[in-house]
Amino acid sequence: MTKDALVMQHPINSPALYINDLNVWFGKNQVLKNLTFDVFPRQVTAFIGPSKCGKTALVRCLNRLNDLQSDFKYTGKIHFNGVDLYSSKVNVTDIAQKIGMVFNKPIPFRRSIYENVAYTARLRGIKHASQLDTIVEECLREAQLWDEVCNELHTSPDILTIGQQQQLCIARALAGHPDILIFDEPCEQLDATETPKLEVTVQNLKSRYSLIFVTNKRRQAARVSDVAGFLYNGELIEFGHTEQIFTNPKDKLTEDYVTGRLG
Amino acid sequence: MNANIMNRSELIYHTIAVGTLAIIIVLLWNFTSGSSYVDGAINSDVITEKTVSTIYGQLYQMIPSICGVILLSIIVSFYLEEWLQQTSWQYRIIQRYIVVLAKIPSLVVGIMAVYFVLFHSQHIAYYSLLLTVVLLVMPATIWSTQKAIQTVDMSVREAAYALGASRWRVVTGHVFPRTFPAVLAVIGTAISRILAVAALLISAVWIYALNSFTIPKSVFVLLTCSVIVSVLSNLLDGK
Repeated sequence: MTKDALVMQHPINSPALYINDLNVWFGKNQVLKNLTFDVFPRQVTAFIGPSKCGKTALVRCLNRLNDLQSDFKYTGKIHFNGVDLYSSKVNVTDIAQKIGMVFNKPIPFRRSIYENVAYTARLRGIKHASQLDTIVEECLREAQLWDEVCNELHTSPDILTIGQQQQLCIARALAGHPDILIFDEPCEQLDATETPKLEVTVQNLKSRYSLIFVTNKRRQAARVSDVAGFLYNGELIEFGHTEQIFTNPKDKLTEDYVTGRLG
Repeated sequence: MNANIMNRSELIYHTIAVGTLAIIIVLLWNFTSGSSYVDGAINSDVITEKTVSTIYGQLYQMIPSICGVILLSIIVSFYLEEWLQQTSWQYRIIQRYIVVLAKIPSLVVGIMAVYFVLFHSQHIAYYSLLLTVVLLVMPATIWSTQKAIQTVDMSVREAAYALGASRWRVVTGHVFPRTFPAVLAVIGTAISRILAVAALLISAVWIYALNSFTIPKSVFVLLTCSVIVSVLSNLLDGK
């Protein structure tokens, strides 16, 4: 799928993220090789591939979490809304707020459900109680958790199930008003009953945010994404519309992976 | 040196650490050689009850400094773990010193403390006592606090960074509260070590004051050997 084709099929034709010739190393180990693709607004872009293929390393480049690794090196360009993400003029905390992330393991902070969500709003400088109340309610509703916790906002998130804790982490990320939300294998720790709910949440969020969804579950990627990229050994083997990737892959490796012969 | 135990760069850091410690020991040797309290008769005019009471006074005066040293140790350990790049040469050198000094038995440092005080007993030096406390307390406190900080799961930090929290907010809002109980335990240990050395100091000076006897040079030789063996064994331990 060419970039032009994606632009033609989407009403908003300016990419939210533009990645050009991205190479990433951890020490001497090159984990990403010559990646070039765009992420367009209001659609779910999924990255699939076997474990250790570089999916997580890729998405952690996008909100600069890899900066925490002392041996991280990169070449190439990542532009977010026209701004070079790795420019010295860019404030890393601003980037992290604009490009939120939900991890594979839910990590609620040691504070109440309300305070978990308000934490991110406070990082944006919002201090007024009524504003915080509104944001907390909005975000919990968007994450489809409000109905379950509206009477227990000031209790510890420990009472929630793993799936609910993951929903809480989504609400917490939404409170930062991100443009892009990254899901790094968010269903890895969820059971079969909680996974569909999270997938519905992802579908609902699509109308307001650009979503990047990393998973090693092929069927899940097919269900939730509009665009998919197949990564193998750090290379982006194929990138295009999900339907095309899963029904008519152009590369033999992609075909082997989506049919289950690889990985 | 077995290549499996330490690589070349570690060997360099070890050599620098041992070299510096060796220089300190040689300097101490020179100090003691010139002291009337080693290989010489104790002058009862010098160590008197006044001297002992002065030590008490100095110890009381040192309480704020000791608190400061403990606080500084905790700040240094947070700086080392959360701000300084752990692959940088600065971190590796400082870390080497901390590990080596922290693992020297407190008894050995305590006896060293007695020497420190005795050298300066005519003008019981505030700084010599403080130096003892710094040498005794800081490395062990920093090392223990670092271990506590390292127990905080990296995923907690990443979750906060991913929301746009600054490093200061991550440390004060997430890392410190999770290490706080361990930090309290570290403070308790540091205070107990200081009290033990203070008791040793006062006892030693009382004994010298009551019984005029000499400190044979062999004691200092044994002490020096103890420090060297302790340092070498810690280096062979690797971390």
